[in-house]
Amino acid sequence: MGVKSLWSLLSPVGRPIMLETMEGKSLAIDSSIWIYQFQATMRDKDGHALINAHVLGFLRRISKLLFYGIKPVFVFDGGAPTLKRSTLNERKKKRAGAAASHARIAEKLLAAQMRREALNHAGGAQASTKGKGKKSSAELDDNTVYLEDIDGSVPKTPSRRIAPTPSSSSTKKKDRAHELDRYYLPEVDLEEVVAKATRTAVPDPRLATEDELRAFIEDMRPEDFDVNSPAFRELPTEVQYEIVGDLRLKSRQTSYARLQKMLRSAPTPLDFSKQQIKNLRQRNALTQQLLMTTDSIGSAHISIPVRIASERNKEYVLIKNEGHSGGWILGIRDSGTREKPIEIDHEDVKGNDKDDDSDAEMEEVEIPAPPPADPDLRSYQREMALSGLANRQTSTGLAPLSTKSSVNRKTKSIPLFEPEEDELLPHSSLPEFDEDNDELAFAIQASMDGRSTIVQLSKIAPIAKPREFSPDDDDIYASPRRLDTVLSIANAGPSRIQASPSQKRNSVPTTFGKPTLLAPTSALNISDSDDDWEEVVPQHRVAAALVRSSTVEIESISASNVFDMTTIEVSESTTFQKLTMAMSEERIDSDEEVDADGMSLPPIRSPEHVNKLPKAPAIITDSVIDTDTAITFTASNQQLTRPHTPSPPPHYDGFEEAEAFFAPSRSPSPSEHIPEDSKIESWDAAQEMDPHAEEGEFAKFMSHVKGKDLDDVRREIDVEIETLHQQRKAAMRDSEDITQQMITQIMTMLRLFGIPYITAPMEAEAQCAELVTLKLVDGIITDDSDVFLFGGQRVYKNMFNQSKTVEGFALADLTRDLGLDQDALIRLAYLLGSDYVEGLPGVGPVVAMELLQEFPGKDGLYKFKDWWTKVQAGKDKGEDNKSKFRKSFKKKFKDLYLPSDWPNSAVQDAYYHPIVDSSEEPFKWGLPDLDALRDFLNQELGWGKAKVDENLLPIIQKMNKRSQAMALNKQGNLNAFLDVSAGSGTRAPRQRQAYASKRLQRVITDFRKNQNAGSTASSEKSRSRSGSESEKDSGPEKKRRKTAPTATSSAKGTAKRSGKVAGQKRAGSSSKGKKRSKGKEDVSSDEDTFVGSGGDPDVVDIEVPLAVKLRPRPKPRPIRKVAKTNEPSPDDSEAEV
Amino acid sequence: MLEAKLAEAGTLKKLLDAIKELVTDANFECNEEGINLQAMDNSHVALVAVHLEAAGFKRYRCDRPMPLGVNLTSLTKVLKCAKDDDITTLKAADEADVLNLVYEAKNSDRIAEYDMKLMDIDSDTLGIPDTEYDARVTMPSAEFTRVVRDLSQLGESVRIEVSKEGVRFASEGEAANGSVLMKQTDDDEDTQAITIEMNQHVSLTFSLKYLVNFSKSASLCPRVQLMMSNDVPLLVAYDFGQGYIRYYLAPKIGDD
Repeated sequence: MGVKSLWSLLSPVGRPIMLETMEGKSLAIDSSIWIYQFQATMRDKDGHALINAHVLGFLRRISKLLFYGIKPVFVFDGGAPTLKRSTLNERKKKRAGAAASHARIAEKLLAAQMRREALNHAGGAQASTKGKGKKSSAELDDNTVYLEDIDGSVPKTPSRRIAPTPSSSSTKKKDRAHELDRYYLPEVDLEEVVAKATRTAVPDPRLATEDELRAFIEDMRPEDFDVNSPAFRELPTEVQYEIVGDLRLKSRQTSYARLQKMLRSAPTPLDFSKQQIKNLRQRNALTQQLLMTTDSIGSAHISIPVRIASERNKEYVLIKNEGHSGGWILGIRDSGTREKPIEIDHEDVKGNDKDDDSDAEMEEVEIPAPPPADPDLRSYQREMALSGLANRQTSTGLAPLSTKSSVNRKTKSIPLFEPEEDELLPHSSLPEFDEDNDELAFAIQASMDGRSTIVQLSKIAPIAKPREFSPDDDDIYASPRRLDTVLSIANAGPSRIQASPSQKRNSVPTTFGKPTLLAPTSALNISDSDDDWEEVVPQHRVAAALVRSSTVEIESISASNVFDMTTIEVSESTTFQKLTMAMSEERIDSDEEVDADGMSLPPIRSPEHVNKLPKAPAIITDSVIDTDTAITFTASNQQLTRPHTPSPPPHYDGFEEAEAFFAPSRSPSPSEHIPEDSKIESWDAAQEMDPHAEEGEFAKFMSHVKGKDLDDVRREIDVEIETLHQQRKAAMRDSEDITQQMITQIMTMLRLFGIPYITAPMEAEAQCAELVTLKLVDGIITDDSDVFLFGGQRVYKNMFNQSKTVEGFALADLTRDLGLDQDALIRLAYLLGSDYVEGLPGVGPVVAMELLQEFPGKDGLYKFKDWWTKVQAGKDKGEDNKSKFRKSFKKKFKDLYLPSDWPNSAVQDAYYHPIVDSSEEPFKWGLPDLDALRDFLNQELGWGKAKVDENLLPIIQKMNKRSQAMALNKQGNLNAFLDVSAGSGTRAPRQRQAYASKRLQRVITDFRKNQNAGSTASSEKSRSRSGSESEKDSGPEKKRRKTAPTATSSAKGTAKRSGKVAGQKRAGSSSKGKKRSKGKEDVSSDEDTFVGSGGDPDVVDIEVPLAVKLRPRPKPRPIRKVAKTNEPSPDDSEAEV
Repeated sequence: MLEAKLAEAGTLKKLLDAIKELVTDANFECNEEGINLQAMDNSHVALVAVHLEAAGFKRYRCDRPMPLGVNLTSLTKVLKCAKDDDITTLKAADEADVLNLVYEAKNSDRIAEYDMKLMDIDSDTLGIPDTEYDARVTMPSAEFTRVVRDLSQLGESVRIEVSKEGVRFASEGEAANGSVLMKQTDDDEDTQAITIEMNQHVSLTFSLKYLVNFSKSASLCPRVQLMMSNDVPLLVAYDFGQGYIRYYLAPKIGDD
């Protein structure tokens, strides 16, 4: 719009305008640009245009105009001149491009959001140590959304779930076997999804970026929450903790407001006490809530570290005293070595609750016989420790060992065993054993040993069994689990295991910490099944502990060694059931199941127990294969457990199926695997469909590939989404157009407001300029700099920009201060480019101004072209390139090519003679029709009567008041009398602004110097002439002076520029006191030079009063040369004279 | 190069007193004939035109026309440093950005010198059209000051009516109305004389606030001229020896 960067050139001559001084002015408004503005700017945060944005925008602006007492005339665009076509076409192209890119950006946006979601997923899994059994549900319908999917840390399922990683690993394995693309995603109708995702005005909470979520959360106040609501419970535990903690703190603080409230509502002291108690109860409730939250934090193993004190290389352990006296001992364990660094903060808050529990139980415990210090066990444990170490390194991102044990912390529980698993897998396919397997066998044996002791113990003291059992098991298995409990300390497990041999001798201290590590499920188990099936419970517990530690493979190995397969299955299934059992009925079901199975357990177990050692080698083979099955079984179990409410029947079906497979799988023949595999395959296929697992993998993969932290990746994606959003908004904005209907709406509104409007035959700016010329309005409100080129005399910019002051520009100012009259401006347009003409490439405002200075005059452009053609042809001579500017221009614009028709004269003509409506019919303004406006606004904007009144009544009242004041005593002004050209407020003296650009400033300074020199010369000239005439004939002369410019042409002026010295001489004589009449030295001249002259002191027209003075008696013949009657074209030089 | 020596700093002071109420910044346009100042207030209601003739100075020299962009508040401050009867010299070099003021005490050898920053001020020089007024009232400036001051206690505006009877100043306030009629005195030579010349009956309403402001210049000159035509700004002119100060004030519309 307008001449490129013209406004920046004009900024020094803009005058700040007080809107108050604009009262009563009639202004033409170029409103075509408005609608574009509203289209572009009035959007919601998603970039959609508001409905009827233009109506609202116009209403606001009309209100502003009317409020300040401005009398607006709206001018709408008519057609577009042919010259503008090319510009318009370009705009259209841009729009079309924007529409296309809009769709593209939407696609990109969706992709980014998906990626982010994947990351979220991985991140969520990281945050919570719980496996996401539910996540890997195969039966998930695409539209199902779990809260966990949005935020991984939701403590919704209190049980520990099986980490999806093993399943995904198994998936991968299967994939490999079946040569499926593991990144294969289900077919999606992308177009539709894209459209859906981008169409919704309300942002999809599932795809909300972190910032959006944060913004949402910040909007809420803690008081808004009902902390007891289930919805609140669904929040991430950390958030719950934070909110409840906040509330609690607040309730504890002394609050004046609360006190006042209490005082108000408690008239008697008794009431006040009651209030106090009520507050206390409230506080207590909050504390309870907080404890509850911390409980769930504990169960979720979200470490909110509360470290009290610490010492390097020291670990303090609270130990239960064994003696009769009981009590506790705080001991130091010196374990701060590299192998066994101290675990800090690993104690869950939960432990506190459990402590007394275990404490009580502990007392009944008989000290178990220290298990034989098995060297194999130790070696196995060492191995585990080493792998744990390796894992730790992995987790810190130093050396990723395998894709599975990647950055994701969640996998930490598995890695400990993963190496084994990896080892096992190949072996299972080719059934041969090496030392590794032997080692494993030993390990298994060792574990069996451990368990056998326990089993024995349990037989000896059935009552104590449950307690005893689980602790001992934990010795081996809890440590990996602990790994995942303690997120920050990766090698806790190994250290534990390393320590365990020594601790084994004293089982009590070792076991002391254990109960706390057990998940609540085990506690539940105890309470549930304790009395009924003592025999079974320990198994449950074992299994539970095992499964919980996500080491299902190992578990299955050992379990298969110790127990019959059925037992395993029972234990496993029950465990899995327990995992899924958020619902009590389900648990009852499983309990029943256990009950049934449990009956058969004791007999089975004993034989197992007897032949465990001899059996060992054979079992190893079994176990190796079983590992495989177990893994797959785990997978199947995951599937089964994942749905929120899987009806028990399918569950048991699966269980039975699994049972069926397990029987054959025990035999070492690989052939028997096949049916099993095929069966499992179906599950896996389903699992493969699980997008979440894949997403997690993808995220991990991404972070892996990029070697970046997950958080970084997420941030990156967030940023990407952000930028894409922006782009989308921009694209949407650009792709829209204004319609005739909008204009009609606006016109209707204007009619209702009683505001005149016209539709220009062509360009609105040109019409506005014409209206000023016709004196129908005082000025123009527009942000389009074209208006000057059409001869717009007085232009107001930034009228509706709250952040900027309104600026008034007068063409006269431009002419006088910058030397930019209409012609120069049009020449500028040729150089800079405007709607009608493309500018010269590379020519900016500074160069353009320098060019104008270098090639002045109307034919300046032609002179420039002549010179340039010469230069291009290499025909330029030395004298052609004398000036510095020419030299530098020549150097800089080597590639500039001027077409032969370059200064297209049609453009100039279009600016000088635009097609406009020259009707001189004056405008009339009416009062707003409030009733009709109410209807209109209700219809278009859905505003109620109250809202309309609220917005319009003050304005109407103000208008009424104004008209009253008008009728009474309105202060007139001198504008008409003094011929201040249209507009105003601008004639007040003001300080000159300078350009920031030095080159530009030089151009202006030079111009002013020329101007001054010119005026000096001319004034001298005129003085010499008028000196003789001086006072005698001043009477008749005065009247004529206006039309008698002392014809000092600028050419003469410049010729006389050297007259400074002469002037000085003359000054001496003039100071002698010779009175000279101040002739009206008008420096009128040809169009190129500046006339008018702010700096010209000679143009003071103060002779008026003299006329009166000279006359003894005024004649009754007033000559009023009021500006009103001035000729319509206020060409500056003429108007001023 | 400008060098203007004024016999009394007081003249400049008194001039500025009234001007500075109307505008904050103004250009003193200096040329061979003297110094001119023209400024309109922000609301375009009043205009002040000052002219100091070159002959009125003890010494005056201006080689070429030059504007002195001055902040009137600053100039007032600098002028306060001078005693009313100090001989004041204004000096400014060509293209200078500083105005140099020298005060020489009349009866002692005290010479004070001040420099004041000049500003680059854009202002239009307005063409004030030739006007033949229907009525001219010449009266003692003290009398005019008194009338407007008195009436400004009552209301905001004053109607000035020139008829054969004389000149009547009338103001209507919320609490009180008042009117002062002054008849033409016969003795034209008396400084206290009130002369009325008129072609036709004139009645105009003006804001008293401005008139009070204008009347501050009474100290410059014992006589004041009021010139009026219907629907044309009032001209209040004080002519003192070295030049004049003239105020134009737009009338209030719609009274009748």
